[in-house]
Amino acid sequence: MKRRVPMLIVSITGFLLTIQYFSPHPASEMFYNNALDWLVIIGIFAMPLGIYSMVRIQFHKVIRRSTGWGYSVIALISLFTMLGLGYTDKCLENGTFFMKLFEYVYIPIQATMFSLLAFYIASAAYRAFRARNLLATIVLTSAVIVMLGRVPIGWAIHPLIPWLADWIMNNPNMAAQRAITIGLGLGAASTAMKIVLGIERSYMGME
Amino acid sequence: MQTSGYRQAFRILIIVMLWAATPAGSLGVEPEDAGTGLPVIPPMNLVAADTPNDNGNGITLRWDCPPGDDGSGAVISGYVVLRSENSREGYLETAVLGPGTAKYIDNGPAADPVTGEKIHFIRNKPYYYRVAARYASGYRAVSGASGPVQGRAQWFHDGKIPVLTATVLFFALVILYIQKARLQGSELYVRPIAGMKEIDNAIGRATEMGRPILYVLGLGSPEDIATIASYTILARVARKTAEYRTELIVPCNEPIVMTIAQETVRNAYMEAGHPDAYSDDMVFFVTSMQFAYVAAVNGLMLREKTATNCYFGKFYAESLLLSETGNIAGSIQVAGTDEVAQLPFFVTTCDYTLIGEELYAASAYLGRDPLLLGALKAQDFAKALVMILIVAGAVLMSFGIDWLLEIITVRM
Amino acid sequence: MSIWEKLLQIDRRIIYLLVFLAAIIPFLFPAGLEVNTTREVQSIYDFIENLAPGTPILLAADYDPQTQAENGPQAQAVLRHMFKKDLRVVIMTLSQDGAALAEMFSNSVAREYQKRRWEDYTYLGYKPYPSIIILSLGQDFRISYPRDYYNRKLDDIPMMQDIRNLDDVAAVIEIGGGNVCHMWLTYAHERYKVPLALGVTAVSGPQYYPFLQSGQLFGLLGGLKGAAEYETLMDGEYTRLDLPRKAIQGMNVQNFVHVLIVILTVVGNVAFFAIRRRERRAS
Repeated sequence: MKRRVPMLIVSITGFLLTIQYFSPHPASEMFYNNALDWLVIIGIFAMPLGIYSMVRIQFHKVIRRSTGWGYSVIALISLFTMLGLGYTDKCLENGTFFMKLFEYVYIPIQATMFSLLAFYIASAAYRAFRARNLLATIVLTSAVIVMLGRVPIGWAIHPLIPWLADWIMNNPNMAAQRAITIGLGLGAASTAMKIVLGIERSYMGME
Repeated sequence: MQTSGYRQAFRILIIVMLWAATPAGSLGVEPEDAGTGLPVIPPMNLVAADTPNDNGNGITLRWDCPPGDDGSGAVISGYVVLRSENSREGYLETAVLGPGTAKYIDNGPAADPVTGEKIHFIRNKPYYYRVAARYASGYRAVSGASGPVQGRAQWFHDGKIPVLTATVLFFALVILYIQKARLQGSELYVRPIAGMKEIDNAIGRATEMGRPILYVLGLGSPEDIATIASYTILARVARKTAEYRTELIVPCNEPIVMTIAQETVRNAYMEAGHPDAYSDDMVFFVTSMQFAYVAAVNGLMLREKTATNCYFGKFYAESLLLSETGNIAGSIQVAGTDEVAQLPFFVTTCDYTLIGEELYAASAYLGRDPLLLGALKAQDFAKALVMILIVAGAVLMSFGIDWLLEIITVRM
Repeated sequence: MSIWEKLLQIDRRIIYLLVFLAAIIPFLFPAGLEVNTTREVQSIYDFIENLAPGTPILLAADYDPQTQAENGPQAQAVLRHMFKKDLRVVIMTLSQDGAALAEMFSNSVAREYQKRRWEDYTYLGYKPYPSIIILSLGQDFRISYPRDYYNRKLDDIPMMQDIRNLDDVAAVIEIGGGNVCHMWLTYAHERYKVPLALGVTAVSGPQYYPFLQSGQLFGLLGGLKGAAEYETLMDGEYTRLDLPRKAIQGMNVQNFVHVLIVILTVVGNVAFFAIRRRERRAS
């Protein structure tokens, strides 16, 4: 019973939403909009669960003095500081302490994390790009052409390089992307169908 | 300002009354245009009809532009659409359109020139329409009326017949292959997926080393197919870690995903006969911010010295940051995602990578359940059909034959 | 250990140092190379260039601080072009970290062109659940955004009077770094048929090329290069207003780093072949 009722709800909702797609009638639109509203409501209710989990784990780490517990203290202080400052009425106005934290702490931290990619890509490329066989050589050559073709120096070396880079992006790349996308589309449709039919139950924590 | 507004409104009222006085069906011909010498001709053959395949909130108007309209605005500067509930009077402006326009879907409000009040379009209410051509010289020529016509809602969108056909066909294939799989049991062949095989070995390695296993579900939302596929692999991993008494760490990026993952791991530990070994601290929420999540997970990897890292689900720019850190830490790494752009990063930094739909096939591959295997086979068959359609379409279109394209085109 | 083996097992921190230097040096010594323009960028420029003044257009600035380096210059260049053409611009964001960013950049670009809020542009702000919001825009902007970012009712905003839904905007230019681009494609373009162009990060650029060829996108700005191309097309405007060409400056850095990666790849392969040759000889 505990498992059958949710599965029945999923199956009925799945079937109704499939039918809804084919109907432009206002009744069908209303059903769809209600479903979207429910999605938002459930999402909002889940957020406190997440925050509770995060606070509990970090708090336990501090109490138990686990490895790296200092970071947990910082995480908790940051959470409650932003929560407190964000609760004030005019926090989003320019020049407030909340906006200063956003602009001068949060944005640089996020940008720094993203910029680490450049370092990691260089290191990964150095280790992985080896012309071990024919296919690896094709990948390697394409990568070099695209890398040079996407920056002005490629154009400066020879106009053929950006042209080749564009050709690679518009032909072999596109063919591969399309093939994978079609496969993914069918896979997604198949999984959705398995969920509606009650075959796939992993989303309920069941195998 | 106010006075000029009233004067303007009065002018519009006079113009509207003049339009209304034009007999229905007549052309309302004005004298010739002083600028071009061409006769001032209104839009012709105005037809108002219910917009097909909509929710009843639209009426489609089509007309023939007067001969002087070349779309440049030199002779005709545009058109004004007028709507009324009565064929002879009460026409109000609903839209002002540019030159060269010959079609308009009316569903918006009309403005009352006197009060400025917006009169909204109402479904199932009969309306009459006229369209006036605005000449650059200042003349306006109004067409005859068309109507009455009502905006009616349709229950079925016939432009989506190709999608319906494909859905029914695919559904039938799934049912057919599931039946077939039921008869044949788990004997249906599924090609080996190296990454899947390696998960068990990686868990064994972590057990031998006495170090934890990290399982990352990605940044997807709970309804993403990649996340759903990831729950299945997580269940398998959790059952093994329960059997071997290996520590499992599952940091989550989304509260609902966390709730489902907790349920999955709890069930797996129960099925393995070790419910006492499960704790909610194993599956926890970190943050929904992408790079803050990366920082937290990378910190976990380096502090806890995880022996094995599994990344299955939706990944974006964080893929390389996570897997490269794992690589630096010397962990065995297995990944799988349907985000094509992230595959190169996983391939270069992980020991095994599931590419795209291999991830979706994981549940069938791991479970060997005939029902899931049947669905997988149906998917393959559908893919073969798509390939045939692509080849046939390319050949036919190369010879200028487009009926196949016509059949499969979805008209929204 | 031979030199080739040492090269193959080079400490990754040395590579990080080289990347760091390659990123810093061009700031001190800019190369000033010419940026060539691609079709996908030119088509966005042409589309906006051919719109009549006063035409409504939607700019979705759905990017976060982390992708600001790539998406920021794209959004700024496109918005400058829109203001130059006197279009009526509706700006919004579906990124929770992007609300303040979008506000900052839209107001600063508006100041450059002396554009008035609510008459020439309107900033709607942020709403969660992107797919739902995009679907609702197809029906009516007022469903998800009854009020704009500054809490003014949309019905009271002069420029929004005749803008009800996606049918009323000439196009959507979506600048974003993640899944939200796909949502605009699926829900806005496919469902409501609004012309769509994207500005995406360089890494996600390749996956949008199929949509470009199929006509589902009328243009694509890929990473900093896309922004630099747009700045090149808007060169006169940047000179007139004496604005910094952030993307073009950034391309100098990319130039160096790309060349460095190519050199590293070549060196790695030379070492790899040298070792393989030696091993073969030995066996």
